[in-house]
Amino acid sequence: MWRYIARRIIFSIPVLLISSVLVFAVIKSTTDPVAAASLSPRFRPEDLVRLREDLGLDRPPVEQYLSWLGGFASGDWGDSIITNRPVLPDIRTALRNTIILGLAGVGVSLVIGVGIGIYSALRQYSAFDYIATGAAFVGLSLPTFWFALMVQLVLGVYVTRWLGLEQPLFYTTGMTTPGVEGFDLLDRLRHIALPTLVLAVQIIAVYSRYMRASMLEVLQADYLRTARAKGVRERRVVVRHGMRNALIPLTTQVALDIGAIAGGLIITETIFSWPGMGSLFIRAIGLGDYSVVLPWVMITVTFVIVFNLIADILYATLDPRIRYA
Amino acid sequence: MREELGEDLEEQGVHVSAEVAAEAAIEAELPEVATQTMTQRQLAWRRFKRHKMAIASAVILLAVTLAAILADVVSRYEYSELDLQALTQGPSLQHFMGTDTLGRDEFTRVLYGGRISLLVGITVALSAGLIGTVIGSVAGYYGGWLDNLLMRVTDLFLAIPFLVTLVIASIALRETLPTPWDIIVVLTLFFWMAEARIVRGLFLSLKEKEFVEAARSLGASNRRIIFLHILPNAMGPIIVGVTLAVAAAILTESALSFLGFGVQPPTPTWGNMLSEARNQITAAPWLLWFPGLMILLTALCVNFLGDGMRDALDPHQRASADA
Repeated sequence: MWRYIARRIIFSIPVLLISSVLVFAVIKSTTDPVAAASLSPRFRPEDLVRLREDLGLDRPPVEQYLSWLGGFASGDWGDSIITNRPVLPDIRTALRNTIILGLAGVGVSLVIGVGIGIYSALRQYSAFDYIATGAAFVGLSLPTFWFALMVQLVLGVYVTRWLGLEQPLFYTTGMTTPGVEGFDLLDRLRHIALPTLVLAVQIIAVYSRYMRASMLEVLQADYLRTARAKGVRERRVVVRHGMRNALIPLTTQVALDIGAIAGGLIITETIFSWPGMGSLFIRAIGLGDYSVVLPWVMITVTFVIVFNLIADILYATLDPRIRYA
Repeated sequence: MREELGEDLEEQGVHVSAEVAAEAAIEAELPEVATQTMTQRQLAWRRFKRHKMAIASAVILLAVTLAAILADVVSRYEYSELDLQALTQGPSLQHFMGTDTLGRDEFTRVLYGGRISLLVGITVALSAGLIGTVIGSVAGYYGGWLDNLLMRVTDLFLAIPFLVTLVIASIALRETLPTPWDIIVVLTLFFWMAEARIVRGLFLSLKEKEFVEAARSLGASNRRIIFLHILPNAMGPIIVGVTLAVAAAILTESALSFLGFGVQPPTPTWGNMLSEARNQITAAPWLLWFPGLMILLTALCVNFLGDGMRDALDPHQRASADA
């Protein structure tokens, strides 16, 4: 098993390197970090030359990349070439905010999705099952950004108007109310509710389908019949013998989803002005700030790779029939 | 008479596959002779017809596509035609879906936007399906180092967050104002991986089957085995994958346009119409409703259609298709 993990980790290093080279090449060849300065009348041509030298932009691209890579690997992520802010703290804060939102979304979806899936499977072809199936199809076909805007419009604007409130029940932007000091749980919840809803609707659609399918499969398994034949109560058969086994495939999916969180909430974060990785990415890419985008890509790709590995290990650990190849 | 028929059937039964026989058994109330003469295609069509949602979806999709293609016949307005008498008006008899802040007819713009969305969705799904099928077949059939190399490349493409690659790629195109064809190329580059994995899996299992062994022992070349023996048997899942990819491509194109990295105004697409509508979210909510509902409707119908086609073309997958 350790050999398997080691091999997977070694395999992932070229993936990281290649993706960073690709991203660097594209950004370098398409955006000019001093474009804004070169348009400004307050900059003289010699100032521009000096600025380029200061930022190291006059050196060959390969050298720039290697010096960035050396710094990154040794933990010195440097300052942003655009905003001059240190990169590491910004990314750390953004990552924390994104993980909060992402885990809220996955957590809520897990509870609701598993519930719907199990109930659908136990009452296959019932009215509930058909409605859940239809709803899941709608959830999978929803354009995230449109749904997010509709949520803002209906829950943020209309409901507030109908109820005649001065403050909306749930806020449509940001993570906290500006000016609120310290940690105010209620304020936080009123901010996180809507983006979580947007994330959850899609994830619930996936999880409920997954859970339904694996539950249906487990319900036909021989060991369930054995349990019933032994005289185990139906409730216990369903929960202990059925649900616990049916959860195994979903565990893998959840691990993969958590891995995708770091770089995967771009649209939701942009629309709700959530100060996370997605917002950071859109801002940095607009400015051509490779000093932020490159570490950003490294972090998100690492997340995907690590959680892919975790998913595989979990799967094999939870289901003793699976062996590493 | 009846005995004769039975014998006849038994004789024919040798030639029909177990699957056809099973289908025939289900349809016991129909005259059995009719069942015997059904081809695989007819059987698939019959399974598809049972899927009411898929049929309804196909009809709706056909209507949407026709309306989009015939936009200049269906609508009295041009998509860039300004009506200064009717700026930012809600839905009315003159303008079914209202007008935007420049007085352009929203209904017309939704139709023209549909052209781009459907064009991008269908073209991306087909071309990505083709690339995925080629890569998947080569990897699955030949195996060894080639398989390893191709699958590592696939992993690489899968590891980078999807939207990130798209945004970066479209920034590369930003200087030139991306046309729909640019967007199609960019999307295709990042859409083939799922299909490649599916096809590889199919080839891995199909190449071990007896009929492939039989073909090989008769001296068939690799090319003949791939194209004549394995690929036709893998076609069902491939078609289903391509269909479902249409929905994903439409959703992705609209998201990309919404973020401002897709097809640029004044060419309307559902995504960039929503991006503009965002600024009038309270003043003109109808601008938000209609393009979004069209994306939802189209994606939903394509997904139902794909589900129906899976039941029809890929009956073995049914259990997992319910997933």
